[in-house]
Amino acid sequence: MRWVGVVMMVVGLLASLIASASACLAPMRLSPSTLESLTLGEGAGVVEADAIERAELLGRASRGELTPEAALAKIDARTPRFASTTPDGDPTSLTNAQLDELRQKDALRYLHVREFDFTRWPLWWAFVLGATSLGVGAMVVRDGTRRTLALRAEAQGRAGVTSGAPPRAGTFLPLQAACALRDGLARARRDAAARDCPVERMSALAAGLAGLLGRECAAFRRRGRLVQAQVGNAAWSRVSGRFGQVERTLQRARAAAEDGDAPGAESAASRAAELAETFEEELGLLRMRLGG
Amino acid sequence: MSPSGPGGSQTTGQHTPRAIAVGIVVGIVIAPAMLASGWSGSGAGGTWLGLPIFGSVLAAGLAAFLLRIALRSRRVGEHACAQTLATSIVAPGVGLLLGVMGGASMFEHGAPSTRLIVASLASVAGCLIALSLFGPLRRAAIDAADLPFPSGRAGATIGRGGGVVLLIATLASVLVSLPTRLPGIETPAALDQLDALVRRERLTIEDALRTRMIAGFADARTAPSELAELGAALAERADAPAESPEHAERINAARAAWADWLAQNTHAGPYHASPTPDELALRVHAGAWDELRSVDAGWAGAPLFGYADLGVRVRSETEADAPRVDFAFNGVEADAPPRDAVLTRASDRDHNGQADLIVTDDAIDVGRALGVPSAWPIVLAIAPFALGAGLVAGTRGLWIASGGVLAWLVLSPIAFHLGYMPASVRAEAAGAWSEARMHGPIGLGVLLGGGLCVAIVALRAMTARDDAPHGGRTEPAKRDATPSIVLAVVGVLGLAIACGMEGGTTQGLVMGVLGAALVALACVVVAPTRGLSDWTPLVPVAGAAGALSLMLSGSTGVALACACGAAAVLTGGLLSDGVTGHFAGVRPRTLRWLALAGVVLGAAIGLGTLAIGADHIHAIPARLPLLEGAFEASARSGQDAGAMVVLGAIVGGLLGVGALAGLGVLIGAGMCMPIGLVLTFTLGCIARGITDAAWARSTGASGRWAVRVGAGLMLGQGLVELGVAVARIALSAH
Repeated sequence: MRWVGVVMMVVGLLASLIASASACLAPMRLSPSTLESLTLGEGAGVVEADAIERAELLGRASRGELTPEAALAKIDARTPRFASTTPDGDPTSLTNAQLDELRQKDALRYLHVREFDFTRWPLWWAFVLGATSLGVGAMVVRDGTRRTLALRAEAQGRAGVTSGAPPRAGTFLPLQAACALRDGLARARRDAAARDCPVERMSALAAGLAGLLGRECAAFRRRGRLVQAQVGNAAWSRVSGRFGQVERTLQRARAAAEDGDAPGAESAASRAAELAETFEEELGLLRMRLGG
Repeated sequence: MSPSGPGGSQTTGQHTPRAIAVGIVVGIVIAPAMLASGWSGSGAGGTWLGLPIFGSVLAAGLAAFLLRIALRSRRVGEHACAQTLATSIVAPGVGLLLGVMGGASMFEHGAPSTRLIVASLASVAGCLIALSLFGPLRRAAIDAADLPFPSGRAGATIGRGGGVVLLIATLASVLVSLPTRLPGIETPAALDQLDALVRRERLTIEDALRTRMIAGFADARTAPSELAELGAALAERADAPAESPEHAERINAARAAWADWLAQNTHAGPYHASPTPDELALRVHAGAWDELRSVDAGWAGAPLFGYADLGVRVRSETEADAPRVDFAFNGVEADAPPRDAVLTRASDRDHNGQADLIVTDDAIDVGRALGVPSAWPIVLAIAPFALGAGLVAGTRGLWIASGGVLAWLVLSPIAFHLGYMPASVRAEAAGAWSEARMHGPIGLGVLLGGGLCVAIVALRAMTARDDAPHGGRTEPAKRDATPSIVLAVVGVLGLAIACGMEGGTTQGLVMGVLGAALVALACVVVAPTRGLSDWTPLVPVAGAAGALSLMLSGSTGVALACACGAAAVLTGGLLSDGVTGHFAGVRPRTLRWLALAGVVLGAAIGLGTLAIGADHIHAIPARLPLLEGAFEASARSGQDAGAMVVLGAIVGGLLGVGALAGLGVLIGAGMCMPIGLVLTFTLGCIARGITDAAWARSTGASGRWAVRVGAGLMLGQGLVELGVAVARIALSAH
């Protein structure tokens, strides 16, 4: 079903964009009085100055067939054929004669104008259909994605139990990650505290925290969308905020440890442990609220 | 990284005096360079405002150099603080740049000095509003969405040293980037170089002819009286305390006489089409014959080496039936027959008599090399920065890339083939025309509609208290609230005052409140765009503000454009720095206060730079006018094609209904990006996807390598941009 939604979105997006592109077009089949009343869009009637034509005209001037002034006047007259604005910057309209020239010489089908009018819009129906398809497809995709992600989160949560996640976390995926984080941090601090040499202690703490950040934190971030699908947008914004706080404090502890700043590292690691504990408690409450 | 031992400092130093000093020094180096150079063009069909984009990475690189090498500090927290302070100094400068240059081209209301004050005040006000939103945006983009923020991650990598991989990637990037920017440095061309420069398409025939004429004046130490008279008229106006109608009349008459002389005496109508600069007349009038050999006076400039000099061109095909012409028309004898063959349109689109270049200074036209039809522009920008950003962003960046591909390779060719473009638009120009008048305005709408959708979703998430574990906001969110509200109130008041200075009290209040909403929307739009592609959609955002101002007031709008521009740049930079700070463990509120200090300092530096540089305004590098053009085009197209913007906004909003709330922003941003950069960025994303798939992903080795290589590529190009900007300032001052 999700793929149907994706197809509807793609088709709807293309149709609505192409239809939008025709919003400022006026079909040349409209009555001359209507067309004359419209103001031209930017760049209307611009004709590139062609270097070959220029060279030809100047060559004729050099051979005496044209005066230099006349050649220049012809070149200048080429750009633009009709201006979309007057020298004062006001928008202009086309005359009937110019419209005839456009129809016959250029076989033009549409004029690019500034005014929008729903009744004159050639592809309004395509936009309505496309936007409907896009909206319906988007909702189908959203529901399908949410369902799929929630199922995957459930499955990963169950897999976590069998692969050694702490029993207190149950099958609730974010709580498993929080427990792993808290336990990992306690382990890293314990390992570091066991060293006698201060330099070794800091090295061990830095290595332990780097491992924790690279493993547990990265895993939590990778599973972010699954967790979001499981807990909903509002709860996710708080869960992710709290997680970010924990991760940042861990980074601070790691930076201090790498810098050999023992008090700073220990203070930050201690703060991270407090935050991790709070994080775990909050997720426990959230699990209860969600009925997990 | 090995610990430095217990003998180090006993505090977890982050915002130390050393970090603050380094941040200020780096900011002072970057901000004036940005103001003076400002605009970095990409020949790949579009433009980027250069240094603000490179701001974070450059600040990271320079701060790392100063801290790690000069001051022997390895503290990543110090590095992140210095980086944040430096990039925040840049943001108000962008607002000033928009106000002084971009705004000047559209809104002629008010004296330049007033406009400068309005621009400064509005830029700072926009920055304050952006700062007030930093907390929620950071939580949404960094904590909740975990967006990669390539330059932020690059900054973190640089702050930690980065190792040999980073160094090699930086050097490679410098080597690749140099020929893209070196042609921006020009020295006066020697006369015997002129023909070769014309053949290499570095000069037009008119430039060469004009230079030879000026050389004649300089050698003879005399010039036509018409030119001297024009110089006298210009000098008189410059010396007069106020311009009078008589001055204008005299100057116009002198210009006409000089044009007549050119047309009659040189057989050289080209001069008429490409008039000589006023500086030539002024120098002739002053008798400064030795100073005529200057680019300012119209003497042709010889650029340094660029990729275009390799001469990689499409195959040359001659139009068999076309009569021969004289491309080098320069007043040859009347009986001399034209000798130049005319090439087919396929091999010479600009009809200058030479087959077109496949490799230009900053782009490779892969589509032409492969024979792809002209309506499909497949161009790769030579931009290691974009490649690096793609490498760091990974496959998630493909969302943005898909917007660019949709606009340039689907929508534009279809519109061309359906006859939606004027008959005068050729297939090869369809993309550029569509960017200005069709997919550009639609993309702007998709961007804004998507931004609204993101804002609604974020607001719903933030206000949904019932589902929260403790039924309310988290502690950091509560702590953030008061200063955020104060900053927002001061920002809105400042913006209202700036708008009021432009258009009166009532209009100021209305525009101030509406403008604050637009600034907030700009910040919301920037977060996901910057997060996934490192691109700050500055021109679309400032263009939208300009269009809104034009619709509401008709003549004023510098304030709104500046506020939006500065806020967009600050938001982008601050979020990137937020990621660097996150990996360094710096508290977000520390970053915010540093940014506030940087904004105030940046406004002062910006004003100072402009005041010092006022006498050299003519020497501002030539690419700066591109900013005026891009800004004006964006605002005008937004105003003219208002219907397309609204329809695009509906599409953008609907896209956000799906599984990804920010999809509209991402697709819209991609639609507003130049195709060359989109495709180069896409290559980076795909390369990362392939390496992730090929390498054992679980070890994370692929990611670490990609971030280091990407950081090096970004830093290298940033350094080249900065170096070239400084060189150009030095040359113009000289």
